[in-house]
Amino acid sequence: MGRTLRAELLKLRTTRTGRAFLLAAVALVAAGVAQGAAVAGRGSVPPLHAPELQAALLGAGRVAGLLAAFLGSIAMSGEYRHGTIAPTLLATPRRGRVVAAAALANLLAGAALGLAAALTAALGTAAVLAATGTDLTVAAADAAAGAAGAVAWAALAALLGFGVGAVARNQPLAVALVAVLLLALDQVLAAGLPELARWLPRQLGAAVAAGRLDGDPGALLAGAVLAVYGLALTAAGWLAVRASEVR
Amino acid sequence: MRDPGVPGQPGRMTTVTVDRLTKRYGATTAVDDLSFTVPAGSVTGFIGPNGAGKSTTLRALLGLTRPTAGRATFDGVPYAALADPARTVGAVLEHDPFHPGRSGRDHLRVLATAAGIAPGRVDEVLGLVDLADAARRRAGGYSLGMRRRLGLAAALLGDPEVLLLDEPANGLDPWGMRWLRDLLRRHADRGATVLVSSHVLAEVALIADRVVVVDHGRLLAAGPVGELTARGQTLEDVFLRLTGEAR
Amino acid sequence: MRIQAQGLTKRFGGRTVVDDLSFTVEPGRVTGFLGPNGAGKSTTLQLMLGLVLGGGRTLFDGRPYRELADPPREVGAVLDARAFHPRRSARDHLRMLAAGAGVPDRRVGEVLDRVGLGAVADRPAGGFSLGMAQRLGLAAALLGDPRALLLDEPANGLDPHGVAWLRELLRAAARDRAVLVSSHLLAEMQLLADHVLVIGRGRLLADAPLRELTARSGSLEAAYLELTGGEVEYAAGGP
Repeated sequence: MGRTLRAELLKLRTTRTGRAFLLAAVALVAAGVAQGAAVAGRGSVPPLHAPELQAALLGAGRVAGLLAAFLGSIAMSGEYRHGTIAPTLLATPRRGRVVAAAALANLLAGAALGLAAALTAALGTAAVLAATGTDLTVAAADAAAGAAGAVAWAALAALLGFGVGAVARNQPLAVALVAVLLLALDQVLAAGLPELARWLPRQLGAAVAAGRLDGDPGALLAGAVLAVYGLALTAAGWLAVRASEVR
Repeated sequence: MRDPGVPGQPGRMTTVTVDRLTKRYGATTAVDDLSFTVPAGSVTGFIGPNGAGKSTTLRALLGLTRPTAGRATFDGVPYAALADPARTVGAVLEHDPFHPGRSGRDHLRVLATAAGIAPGRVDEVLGLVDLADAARRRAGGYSLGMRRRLGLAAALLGDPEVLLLDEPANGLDPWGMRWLRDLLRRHADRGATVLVSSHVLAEVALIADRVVVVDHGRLLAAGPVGELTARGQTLEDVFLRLTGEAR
Repeated sequence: MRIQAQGLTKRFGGRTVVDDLSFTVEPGRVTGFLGPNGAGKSTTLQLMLGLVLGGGRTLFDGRPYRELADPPREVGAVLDARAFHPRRSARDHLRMLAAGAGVPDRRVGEVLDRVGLGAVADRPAGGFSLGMAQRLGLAAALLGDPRALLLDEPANGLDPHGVAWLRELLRAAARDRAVLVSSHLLAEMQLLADHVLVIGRGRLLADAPLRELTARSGSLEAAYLELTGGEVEYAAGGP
């Protein structure tokens, strides 16, 4: 399993895609922080020195979750698209091992994305505060929880996306399904079935990213449910890959 | 092209056996109760018209396609059950399976990592196929000939005792073809088992000791080239006669 | 028709890709055009057809390509097997070309049968295999019943039946036409070509009957490897 995992991690490191996602994450988070700082104190938005506002700026890192889900979705589906699934399976004929290693590698990649996002948010917020001469008022514990939450959400989102991609084995379809799953689905349900919408990935992800153990649902429960979703989809993906004919 | 060097010690003599192999896709029978043996220490040509089932047979041997009936094995062992599949069998498939954004060298590094092959081997095979200069460029920019040579490099990575090659000379210029012929000859002389599928019978006649002729998924003839062309006919004459009758 | 290439030259960047090439393609025989990848074969064909501008000139029965009254009816060429719109059917593709060249519509059916694409003529060409695409390209070249044929790797993607069929078609076509075929398949060329041109690094290395080359070196491949031994350029591009 070790060398299969190393190979999967190497795959992620040797295309420009990973770098592109990293750049996108950094850019989106930086933009989020900038935007948050810009509207601080206007209308009903708390001012820059308010701890809630600062927590919100630091929380801009949660956007990495969506990106991580897309990154995960193109992993297995990309192998089928480019035909690299053939050499992958020739090097490692045990398909379960390939899927497991790839899932883990993508989960780690998601975490890395989340970490980069959290760091960008922290640096960005620090820069804004320093530039405006504002004191740090957010509690260290809250800030840390938010950062950890962003990393965890990104990791779980990557696993979720990976599972979708492994089942779909078709790149455009996988990306579309992730978009629906994370963006459209709870919009549709939120109006009519808000109770159901709470257990959809996006809202669960928000709960994880917020890092509040006492939230509703709490970050740990939300994370556990997301993990179950991700593992279930990955297991389904394994069955699909196992049964697939490779041309 | 680089001289592959002095032949090393002979490896194990592995026999490739296709035993009553059948593959059906819905109503279509791609391979129909096909049986033949590929002995070690010789080059066997695998010839047949388009749609004869050659690629399907090769994919069944490699575990990429599941047979409807019958078996395809290496000394009686299916590919997925081999102790060290990537170091026992090297394959060049019909379509060159590379991620366009990854460099040729990284593609090989990933395979070497997954198969537990020493990293130094990557640069060795790149030198063998004369891709050392282009190795760090992304595979998406490679010409057809370069892609074929990268595929050959991947097949040779594990220094396997069995080579299964699907149209390996496609896109190679005459120097490349001569080099490939010499390489396969040397491998066979060392005891390797080589199965080469090709459409250019004039080339097959130059390189193969034996041929297996298939059409419509069925075996038409198998045996030493000399025997089949005993009556002064060319391999093409024999082929056209055999497949003409079969059509 | 006789084709005369005179002093063909082409430079890309600092490199001379085709270097003062002169040769004649005579009717009544198949002329093979050989050379390593990067030697300038495709560029030479493009120069001859005026697709690329460079030094020298090519005369088709004494006239350059652009001065031919109806180029597709005098010169047929297949340089890129996939030069068609993927969603257009084979038949429609040919009808479009026929209309543009003033060729009667019935020729479309004729050439489709000639190349064996009759059964799939109404399918979108985008779904064609390489071999089928090659046949479509050949059909397009034959549409105007031209006096000359210029073909770049026409056997690429054809199965053994196709290879044998192509050889017969070109032999028959060469009886009263000028046929220039560029190919890497030397074993096949040895069966098909009557006359051979070999280039390396843009320069002419041989212009001789096949018999002469095989008598000298034993086989076309041996002759070719001897001739191009010092001329092979495996730069970062390679074959």
